Order: sequence, then structure tokens, then C-alpha cells
Amino acid sequence: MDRLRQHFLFLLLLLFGSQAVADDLGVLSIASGKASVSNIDGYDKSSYYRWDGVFFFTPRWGVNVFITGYEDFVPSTSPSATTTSPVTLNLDTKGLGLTHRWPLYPHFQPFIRAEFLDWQLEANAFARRVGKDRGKSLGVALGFDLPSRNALGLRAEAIRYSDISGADIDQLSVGLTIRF
Amino acid sequence: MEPTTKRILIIVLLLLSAGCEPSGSPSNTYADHDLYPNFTAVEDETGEVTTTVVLEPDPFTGQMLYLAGGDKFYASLGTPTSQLLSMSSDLFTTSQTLSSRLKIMEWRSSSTYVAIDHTTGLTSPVRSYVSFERGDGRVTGETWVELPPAFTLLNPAANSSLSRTFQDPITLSWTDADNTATMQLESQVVCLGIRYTPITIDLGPDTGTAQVSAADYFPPSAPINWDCLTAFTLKRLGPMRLISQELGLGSLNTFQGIQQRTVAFTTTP
Repeated sequence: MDRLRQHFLFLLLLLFGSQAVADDLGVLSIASGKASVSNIDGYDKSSYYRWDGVFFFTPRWGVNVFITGYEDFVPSTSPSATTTSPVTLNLDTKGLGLTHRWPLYPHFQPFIRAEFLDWQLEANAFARRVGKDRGKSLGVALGFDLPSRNALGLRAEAIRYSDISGADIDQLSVGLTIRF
Repeated sequence: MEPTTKRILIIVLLLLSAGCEPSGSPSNTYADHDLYPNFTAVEDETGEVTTTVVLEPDPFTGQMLYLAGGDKFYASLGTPTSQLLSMSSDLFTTSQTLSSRLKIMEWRSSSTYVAIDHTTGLTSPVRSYVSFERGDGRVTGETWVELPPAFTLLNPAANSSLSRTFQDPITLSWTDADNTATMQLESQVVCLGIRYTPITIDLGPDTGTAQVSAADYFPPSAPINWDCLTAFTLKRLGPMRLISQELGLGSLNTFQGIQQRTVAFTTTP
């Protein structure tokens, strides 16, 4: 009897988890991480935050809307230089994504996402703007969600963007999610 | 809406409108003083270039350059500062270039401004640029000096030991003579830990060789019969040239491009 009860409870748990995955229409997340320029040496890593909302039009496919704000990218000065770099690069992005997830387990859902990024970049030096660039880039993200039994969860992901004003940018982040 | 509420709203609106008013009309007028700095760029044997600008009073009027808040000097190597400051696209690459090549001159409490460029690997000749910028972001002047070609000091050899009498001359020789340049020798002598005042000798036009005697390069107060460590710094002074994009201000006063090589050796009686 006890064994049957255990099996029943376990099945109930799985069904509850699966049901939660199948039922959620979307996920909001706030994440923070580090971004680095991969194809140009000499830039320090930049912290960033990202707001992301995804609407799942099927249980596995969803569309994302996101905005990202970065700390300034700062070129490293030469080893012999005694002063810090006079130049800072301020990047802001927003974009759309297409997510595909695999609800392998109720509490572990890997995903892949293609992103279309609209970015603005400003170079500032000597208390004024010395350059400005704007463009669109593509990116790809790999990550996983760790939903809990309630609406909250965790997310970790890695993103690669190509050619943001000459730079390929890699990002690693962790964040909180809320499902609805 | 109650009268008290209206009053508060009006006060808030008035405060906000006062805050939006410009705090002071920007001044577009500057004292009409000229630039009178000494501008020197020196490249040593390691390839590092040190660019120095020293402001001096106007030799005619005694006035100094008028420097208001935000006024700056810039220095760069190889690329005009105006080009470095005008970035259009590919900002991650160009910003790095700007960062590595453009230096802002630090303001000091005295009227001296100094910029230092640490740049290696550039092949000579290379130009050193200096710009002056008004606080409104307008580049008002840019000038450059071209460093003379590099050379190698052949004689005396580094760490050599030369026996001499006081009258015996030392023959200097170096590579890549450039007859458009002039040569200068600076001698520094240290005897038993005592460092004597450096002596500067003008060697005239660059012929690739020169002779100096101890009477020229040895401090009169130094003992001539001691073993002394001597350092020669040979300088090639490039022809003075000036390109100044005049935009209402004056011009730079003196400017020199110098290639220098230093060798240390021991002189014995």
C-alpha cells in the first residue's frame, strides 16, 4: 500500500510538473551577467542586465522581447601607460527572439534562442561624445530554465552576438524568472 | 481643485520652469591670446616617444594663453588628433586606436602642460601631433612635428672602457647620417658616486661622426684621474616644421623632433 501510494504521489508530481510546463503562457525574467568582446583584445568585461519576456504560442515555441543595458566597455591601455583609457563605449540593445525549449523534466528545461538585435553604441571621451553607431545584429543563446513548483524560477544562459560595431560579444548571465 | 492645491501646483511649475532655464549663457568669446608653447617630441632607442608641451608667456606681451574650463591639449602619434576624434563606425576598433594613440595633457597648477605618448613599434619617421581644443568641443588648432630618422650609435660602444688623457679626443660615430638635421651631445659623468651637472655640446650638422675631447664633455670640477662612468646621449634634432590649422588662435612657438640614443661607458685615466 505504501509502495502504491509512493508511486501515485510520484506520478502526481510528474503530472503536476508537466502540466505546469504545458500551461504556462509566458515567462518574464531579469538577469545579470558579464559581457566580453571576443574578437578584439584589450577590452575589459562589462556587466549588464537584461529584461526579457517570452510568450509561448505553443508549449515549445515562444517569441521574446528584451532590452539590455550595459556598463561601459573600456579599452585597456597599454601596459606602459600610467593613465586609464580616456574612451568609454556605451551600448544599449533591444530586440526580438524566437525560443525553442525542451521540457525534459518539470524542473529543468533547456532552450535555444535566435535573436535579432537592434543596438546603439556611443563612444565618449573627454566629457563628450566622439562617435556614434547604430545597427542590427544576430545572436544565438543557449541556456536552461529551472522552474520551481510555484511561479518563480531560475535561468542561466550564454549568448553570442556577431558584429556589434565590429565586435563579437559573448554574454553569460543568471537570472530570476516568473511564469504566468 | 482646492486653492491650496492650486498654489502648490503653481509653485511646483514655477520651480520646474526656473530649473529648465539655462544656468548661464555659454561664452563664445575668449581672450585673444596666442599659443606660445614649446613643443618637443623625443623618441628613444626603445621606440617610446615622449611628447611634451610647455606653455610660456608671450615673449612680446607677457600674456599667457587663456585657458578656460574645459580647454585641453591633446597629443598623438602617427595620426592627426582631428582624425582620431572623428569616429564614424566600427567603434570598438577605432575607440581602441583612439585610446592607445591619443593622450590628454594633464592640467597642472603651474602653467605647464605635459603629454606623454608611450608608443612602440612605429617605424621612423613618425609625426607627433598636438591639438588645442576649446571647452565647447571645437578643435582650434593642430600642429605636428616630424621625428628625424632613427640611427644607431656605433662608437663609443656600450659598457666599453676607454683609456684617455685629458687631451685625447673621443671619436663618435653613428649610422644613417642626415645632413638636414643637427646633432647634439649630452654628457653625464659620475665619479665615485658623485653625479656632476650634465654638459650639452652642439655638434653641428649631422655628418655621421664627430670628435669631442675631455675638455668638452668632462666636468671641470671632476677629478680627471679617477675611473668615471660616462653616459653620452646623442640627439638628432629634426628640422623644425609647422603646420597649424589656424582657426582664430595663434601658433605654436617652438617645436622639435628629437631622436636620441644613449650609451654608457667607463673612462679611465
